[in-house]
Amino acid sequence: MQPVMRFKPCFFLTCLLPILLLLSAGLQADSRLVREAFQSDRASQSLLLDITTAGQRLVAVGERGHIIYRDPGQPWQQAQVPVIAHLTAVHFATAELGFAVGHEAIILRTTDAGVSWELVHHETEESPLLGIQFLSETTGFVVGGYNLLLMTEDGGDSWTFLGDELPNPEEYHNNAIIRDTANRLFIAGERGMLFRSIDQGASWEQLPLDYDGSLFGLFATPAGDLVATGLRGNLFISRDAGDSWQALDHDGEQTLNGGLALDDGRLLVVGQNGEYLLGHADQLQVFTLPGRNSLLAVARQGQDLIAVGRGGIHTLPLSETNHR
Amino acid sequence: MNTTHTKAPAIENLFFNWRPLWLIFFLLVTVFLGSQALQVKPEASFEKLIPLSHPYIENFMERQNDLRGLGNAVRLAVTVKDPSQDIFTAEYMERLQQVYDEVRFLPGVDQSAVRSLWDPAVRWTQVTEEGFEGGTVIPDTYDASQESLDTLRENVLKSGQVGILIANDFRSTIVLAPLVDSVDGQPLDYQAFSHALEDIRAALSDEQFDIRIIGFAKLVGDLIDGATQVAFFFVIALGITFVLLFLYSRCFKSSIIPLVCSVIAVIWQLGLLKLMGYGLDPYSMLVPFLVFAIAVSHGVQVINAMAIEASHGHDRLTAARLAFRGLYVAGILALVSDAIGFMTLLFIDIQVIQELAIAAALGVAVIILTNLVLLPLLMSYLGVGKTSVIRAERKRQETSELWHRVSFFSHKSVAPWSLLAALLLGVMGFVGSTNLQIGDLDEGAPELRPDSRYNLDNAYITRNYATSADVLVVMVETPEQACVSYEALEAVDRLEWQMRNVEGVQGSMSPAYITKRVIAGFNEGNLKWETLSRNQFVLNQAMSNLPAGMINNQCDLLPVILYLEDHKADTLVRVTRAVEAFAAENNSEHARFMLAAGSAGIEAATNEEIARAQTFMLIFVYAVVAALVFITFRSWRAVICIVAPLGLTSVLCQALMAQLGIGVKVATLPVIALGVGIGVDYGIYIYSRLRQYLREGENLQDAYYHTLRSTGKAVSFTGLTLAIGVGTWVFSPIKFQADMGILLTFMFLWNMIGALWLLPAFARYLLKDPSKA
Repeated sequence: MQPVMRFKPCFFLTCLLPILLLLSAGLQADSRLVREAFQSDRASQSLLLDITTAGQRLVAVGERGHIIYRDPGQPWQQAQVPVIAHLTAVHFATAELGFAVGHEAIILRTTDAGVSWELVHHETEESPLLGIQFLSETTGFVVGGYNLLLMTEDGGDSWTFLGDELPNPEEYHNNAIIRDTANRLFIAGERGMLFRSIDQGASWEQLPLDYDGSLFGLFATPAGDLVATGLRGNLFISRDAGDSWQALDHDGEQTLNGGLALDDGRLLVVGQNGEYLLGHADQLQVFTLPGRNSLLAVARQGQDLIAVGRGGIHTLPLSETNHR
Repeated sequence: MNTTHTKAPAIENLFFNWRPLWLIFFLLVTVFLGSQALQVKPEASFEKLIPLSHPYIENFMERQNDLRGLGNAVRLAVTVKDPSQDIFTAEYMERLQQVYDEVRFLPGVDQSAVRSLWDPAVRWTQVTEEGFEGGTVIPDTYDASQESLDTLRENVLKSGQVGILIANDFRSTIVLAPLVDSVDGQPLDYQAFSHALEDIRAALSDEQFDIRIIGFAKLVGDLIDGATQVAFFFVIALGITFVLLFLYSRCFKSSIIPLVCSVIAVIWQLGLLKLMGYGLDPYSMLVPFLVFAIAVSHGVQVINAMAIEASHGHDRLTAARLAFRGLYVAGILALVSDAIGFMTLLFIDIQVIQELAIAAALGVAVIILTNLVLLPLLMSYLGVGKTSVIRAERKRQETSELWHRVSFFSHKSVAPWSLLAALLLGVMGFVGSTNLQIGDLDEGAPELRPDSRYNLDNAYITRNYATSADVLVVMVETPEQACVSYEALEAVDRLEWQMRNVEGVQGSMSPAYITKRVIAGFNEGNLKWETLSRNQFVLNQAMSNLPAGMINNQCDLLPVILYLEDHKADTLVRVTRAVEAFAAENNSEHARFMLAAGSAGIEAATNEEIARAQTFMLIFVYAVVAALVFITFRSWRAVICIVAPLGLTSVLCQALMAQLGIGVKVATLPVIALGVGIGVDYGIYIYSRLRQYLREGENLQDAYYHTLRSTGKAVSFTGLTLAIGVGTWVFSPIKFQADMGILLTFMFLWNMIGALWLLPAFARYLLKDPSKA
């Protein structure tokens, strides 16, 4: 036993520790997602998960590190992206400064309106990131699976974990984060979770909702209303900054993923299997896209309403045809 | 003919001194082999059509059992005829159930693997607040009521099977039936299986519903059925040949005996094939024609020689002996070089081609006995008819205007122009032949005609379903029990995407693809989770839902299925190169990317083997023919005179193929070897006569004139009979037989022209003209 005892202190410090360090370094290097995204003519037809505007430009993100952008009247172009991760959300703080997030807690940053991207955050063992929102050029938040909430105050250089501030003891997924016109932050998530922060993320409260299915999308209207979209056609609106929520009635049955408010006050909500709702909150009509591709998000460029989802880019025909 | 005074060689005495004994021998052998020949059955197997030692195929064979269902399967699309109707009617569902039941119990079908709407394994799923919801697509409570049909319609939409089992237009659905290799220890009989499918089609389609069937087994069944019809062409060829022989000889005996002997050659060939354990597949189905045509052409030489000898006043026996004596060297040489020419096809590592080589070589070897021996023996009893002899005598005395003109091809003022024209043709042919392509150039099953039932069905299914029938499977090998590893799946996923970006790839399917969808399903259908997880638990759980054929028992193989737009040679090369490039970059201890299974994978391997063998085979067949000619005539001048015109024909034939859009494939590869092997006969017969007359001191043009007088007519007649024998194939319902017919007809005719036109031109410069010596 004697020699063994003699080696024991050495064992941890000189042998095991370097091994642990090597292992942790190895884990980082082991990621297979840090790889130039494959340039493909078909990127605009691949699975795209979010779309937003950067000034006049549309920017969409999706599977395999695909980021594509389009200026008005131009064709889609694929950006240079250093990862092939599943990118789930994109958001621009200004017309040039933007962020995209994805699995393995990957956060990408662009300063040229989406043409090229740099990797600013990556933890292989961390949960997927699912939503992103900035309040200014420096302060921003991302949400993700298993109660993940990260915050940056230096424009994305460093990120701190903020999940402990959320009243979410079961660690349900946080699926979406937005702000309203008054800079209040809202998070929607699994099991009907809705959170609000009125102090730029310092503290959070849960909002009451009479529904315990998952919410996937959240958007604010210019009028200041909030709309939450969820499983199997569940759709809720709040006209009092989240204090109370009412279910919106319509004939759709598919899960709703996201949407936006049109200039005339109508809502456009997109969902699974090509279903989308259009109309004023109290008279939503149901449409189905031929091909029935699931839709995740929608954005506007001039007169075009561009939805993304399975099959990539889909231009929504906003006529009364295709009524179910 | 001045062979009268030469001494009878031993071989002649061997046959002619024992004539009755030999005739009895021939009779007995014919009866025995005839009884064998009657048992020859048409057959075809998958393995015989593919190059077994190609690395792609070796990989495939090794993994065949793990790829069950990805290999050999037939698809039956049960369709609604009325354009205003769809599949959601009680009548349709009932009919579909009948088809499903019939197909499942067909011998040869892997019963448990049959997929259809009626299969309980075909399910729909849906995410709810409580988790997954799902069930069979046809509801358990299905009672043909409108209500249950409405439920069915909804389930179909939720099942994700639209484009796979259900047509995009909802007017047909597929019954997919994977096949087993053998039934009760016997290899699957494709013809019988195909007929059983036809029975189902006949019984269960009517003015309301139709059944469309595709798959390798159906294709082979149709090929065998079509190829068997060539028996009819055989009868036609027989009739035409008889008429020609009669016009040629004006003698019934001289017409019927060569035909009988030639048919005996075919009987012997088929009987020997059966004895050696071979059958007739759609590719070697044409060999008996070829043997018959070659036999007739040699028979004509014998009859022609006998008539000439008889016109010199010899009796039947002497005339027969002299004809034999004058022809046996050239005849045996010609037939042996035919046989060896065919044998060069053995170098191609595709069994149907090898069997075709053996069958053809056997056939021409048999002709030596039937038409060079049996024919003169029979004629020594029967004799050439009087009219025929008188004609030969009269012809011999009068000068022939036609042959006189042809003899000018050897003249010093014509020969150089002939050679120049040949050179120009050769250059043109060479330029044209550079467009020659390997493999299939058309869509569908190019073995059959574009308007055949099979190709119409194939076009229908390709049009109405998302997945094409041209499938290339990349086999991804992982360590045992490690097929679920993140590293392997991630690499598979990347391969899949890169391949989807290769021109000609229409879509893909892989365990990674399905796993991703299942993972999204576990996450309430949220597509933001539709990616591979690093969490092994998640992967294990997702992959436990993989359908059969996507994962094997040892968990060491992941198939990546690429659906191609077509199976044109260019497409196959482009895709396989892309896979190989990916493999070279990404092979690791976690995953090795190997080609190839699936119809397109096998075709890619076949194309490579054919491209490799094509040049090699051409060089070899020419080398063999040249060597044989050299050994026989002991002169390199003879080699040029005889072989150079053949070369022109080969080049022109390749240009013709390119022009007609016929690719080099299993069916057409043998054509050039066959053409060269048979084409050399003309040269040999002409050259041997020409040399003889030159040795007797005649000048070149006279010698060539006399050659033409004695054998030119036989040679041109031979070219014609051969061309007619194969020309009837043009009407075959099988496209590749028609293609072979066109090409062989061209080669036989052009070889004849080459021999009559170019051989004397070469002779002008290469052979000594004794009159000038």
